Amino acid sequence: MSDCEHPNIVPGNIRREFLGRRFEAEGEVCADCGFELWDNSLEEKYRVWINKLGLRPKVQFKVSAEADQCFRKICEELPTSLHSPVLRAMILVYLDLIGGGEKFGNIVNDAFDSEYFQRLEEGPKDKALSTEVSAALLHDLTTWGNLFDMKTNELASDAFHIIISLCISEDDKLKEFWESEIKPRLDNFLKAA
Amino acid sequence: MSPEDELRLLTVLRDKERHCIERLKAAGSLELVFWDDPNKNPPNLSRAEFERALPTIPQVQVKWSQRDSDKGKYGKTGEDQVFMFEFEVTSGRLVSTFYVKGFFFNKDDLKGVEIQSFRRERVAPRGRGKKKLKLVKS
Repeated sequence: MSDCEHPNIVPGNIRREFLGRRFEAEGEVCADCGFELWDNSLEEKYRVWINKLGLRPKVQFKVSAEADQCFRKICEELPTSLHSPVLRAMILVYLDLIGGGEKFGNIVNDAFDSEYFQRLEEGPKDKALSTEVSAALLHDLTTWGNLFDMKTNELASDAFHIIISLCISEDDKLKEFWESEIKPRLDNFLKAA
Repeated sequence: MSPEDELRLLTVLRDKERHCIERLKAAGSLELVFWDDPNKNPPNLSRAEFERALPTIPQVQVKWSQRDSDKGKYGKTGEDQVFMFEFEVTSGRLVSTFYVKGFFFNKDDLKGVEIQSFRRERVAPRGRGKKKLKLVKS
């Protein structure tokens, strides 16, 4: 990719496709490389458009029987034991925290490295978990997935397994992180749902 | 954004003694101008992805060079120098390295940042650490 400094800006149509719908707006484009100028105003229009889509796409992935059992036990300790909102809350909390920088990044790595995560992740996966999400949440998942070069459902699966690992680990650091950072956030999301 | 938050961020952005990354984070929260590839050709990434990554960027080494052109949205009013740097993000199983290039504007009244380039340079599997944490007892 060339490092174009976008010297020739001209008016142009901005288009984006998401969930089979099309966003359109007038904007500015670079006549040399075709790149589009996304300023705060255009980004806000796009965000409003996504929030108004009114669609409820599904996120789904498969887990092992052991992971499913752990998930059910965790659900019993939360404000709701309904699986779909808990799964949605786990994804929200994970996305909320991975944007927090190095501190959570190190915890994610530790959880990922733990033998329990590996056992949960590598066992035969024949239990399907799914939840409906808002268009905005799917957009967020997709965006993080693009950043990590992962598919949306793969990232949701990682969110699930990392959080389960944090909950049930006996490592002091991970357990403390579950108690102080994860569980309170899950509680708050589920109470507000 | 409250006037107090705006003032706090402007103060950070305008303090040239602060690390470029800290100033970039402030500028990104104020006014972010981003050149987006409509065709999403890899390795180019979007504004949404940059906004997610921005808070995670550590204070890496930043290179500066003279801006070649005074064209562009803030070409005439932006700072004369562009910054460039790479940073890594890990997601448990992968390590991704990203490249950023841009400049702050306006030269005499800093209020934002124009990002000319944001792309993924490399992705590599993250080797699992040797640290073994205890298995849960059932």
